[in-house]
Amino acid sequence: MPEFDEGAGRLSFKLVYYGPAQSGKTSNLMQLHELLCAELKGELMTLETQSDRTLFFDLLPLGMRAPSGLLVKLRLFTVPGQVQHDGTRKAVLSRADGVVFVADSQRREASNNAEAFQNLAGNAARVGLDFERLPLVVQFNKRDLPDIAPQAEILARYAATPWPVTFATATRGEGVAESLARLLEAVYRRHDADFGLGARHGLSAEAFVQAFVGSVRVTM
Amino acid sequence: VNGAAAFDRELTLPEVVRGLPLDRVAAALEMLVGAPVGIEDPTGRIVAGHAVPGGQAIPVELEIEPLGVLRVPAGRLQQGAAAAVLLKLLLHARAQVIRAGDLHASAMSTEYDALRQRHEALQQSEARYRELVQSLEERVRQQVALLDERQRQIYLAERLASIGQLAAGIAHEINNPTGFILSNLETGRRYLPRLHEFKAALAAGSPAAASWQRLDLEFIVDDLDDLLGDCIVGAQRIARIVRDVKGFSSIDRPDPEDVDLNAQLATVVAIVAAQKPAGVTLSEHYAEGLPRLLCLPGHLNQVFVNLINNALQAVEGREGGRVEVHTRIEGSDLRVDVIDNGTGIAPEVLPRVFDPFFTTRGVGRGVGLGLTVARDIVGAHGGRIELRSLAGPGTAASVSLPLTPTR
Repeated sequence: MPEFDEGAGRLSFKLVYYGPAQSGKTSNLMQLHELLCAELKGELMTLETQSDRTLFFDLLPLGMRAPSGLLVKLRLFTVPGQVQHDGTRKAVLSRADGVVFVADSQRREASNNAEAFQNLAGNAARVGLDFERLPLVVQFNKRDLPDIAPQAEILARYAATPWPVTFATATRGEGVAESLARLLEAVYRRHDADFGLGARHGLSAEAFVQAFVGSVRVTM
Repeated sequence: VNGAAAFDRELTLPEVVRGLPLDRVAAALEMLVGAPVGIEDPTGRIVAGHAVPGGQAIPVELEIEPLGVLRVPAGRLQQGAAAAVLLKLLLHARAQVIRAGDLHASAMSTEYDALRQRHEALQQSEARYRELVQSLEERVRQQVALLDERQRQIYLAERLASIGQLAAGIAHEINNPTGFILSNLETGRRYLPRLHEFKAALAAGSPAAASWQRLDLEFIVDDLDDLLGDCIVGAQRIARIVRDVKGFSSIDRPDPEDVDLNAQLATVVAIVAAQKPAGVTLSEHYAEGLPRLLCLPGHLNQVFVNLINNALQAVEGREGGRVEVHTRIEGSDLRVDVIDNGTGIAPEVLPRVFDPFFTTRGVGRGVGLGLTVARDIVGAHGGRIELRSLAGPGTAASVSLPLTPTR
């Protein structure tokens, strides 16, 4: 559940970028930090090691004011993708309000994607998240690389699932804002009623998404 | 998830600056600004530096939230803004370390819990294996004991077989000459009346009658009758002993048979009595109407020989030595008691009497297998054997044999 601090007038969503090792989770956050023109944009806190691997987490804080004056805050986290950091992944995932699963489009990474997705489902259960109702977007990243699964094939595979699929080349900033936009739509749907986002705070879904990512060009 | 502080909680100024050398930070900022500055939390409390009355507050944020302010003199706003950027970056770096540390602690504690659970599972599995090993040792011990017992039974069976073969061979060889000796003796005895007829036919005073008188043939004929009678009794005894030996050894009957235990005991007593010490009474007390017992008679005979021989040795040389053999029915068992009034068994010896190769007799008088073998045989019949010292002098050996064997 999002953290609602009535005294401080603040509603805070925790969004987590999950996925196999080196699929581009940190790249997503770095590009968002560059691209987004949110009302409030904090420093990107990143803890990459020398080999470009996330050891603990990355954190990008964003914020906007609803017409009611409510501060709506997003805290975007990445998890370490390497298999051995599962304890850290679980701790970062706990209390998440939404997940962007960053998959690697290269064909040879298919089994790593599947394993990481299983790990996400398993860890969500372990930290007490209702995976069925958790807002989730699946992003296929690295569209610029050769030998990738074609979009049509991926879309066909995910047609039966409830999750939106996006395509991205995070290193060039393509598709990252769109992925976040799709997740924010799902998050809004999930929590609008609980927190009266539209009714009490005058915040529509479009305004909520636009405040963070501007008008996103949908590239599919 | 666990006891550790959530790494993603909102941080406050006191938390972020904990452990920082704030005096040195404030002093350095004051040197940059060229005037006294104050670091204040959102409530206006001075955390480090000096009070700056009438000063300008420059907000210092962490993760888009106001964390505190840097208050600088009004004329120092430009330098103050630069100092505020440095302070913000310092606190940001500080927050990063705190979050990473908390996350690390939380992940470690999760992993530790998981490891501990796996460790406990391993310990349980190890305990199961240890139990298995222990029971394995016990089972090996039982198997070894069983093998020992089987080996003794084989030893006994072989010994019985060789004794039986020898006995059967000797019995056969003795039986034939005994047969014609007995037959000839009886024929010879039947000839004697003719000598009496011959004497009656002699005329008194004839030379033949005088010779009869002189050679004392009257006495010789009578004595010959006695001699032949004694010989016949002796030969009959030989024939009976041979028959008993053959019956005892049962070499030609290796399979279980339905037998009359009383008759078996009578045979055994007949054989053993031949070697009984002088002055010892050996008495038999058999219950009537004893059901027949399915058993290996040759093997059981060995048991009874061993028990009766032990009893006889216990009373050897004692005044009024007495050995009694009893049979009776006890529930679903047939029971045989061999009771003597001999030396008895010393208490320290009693627990060891069934041990293999344990003997109280001198070298050459027993290898210490008699009772061991007896116990094994009785055990093979599903029965029990028990030795106890009696209140008066003496020993009672009891053998219980189930009428329906359990194994």
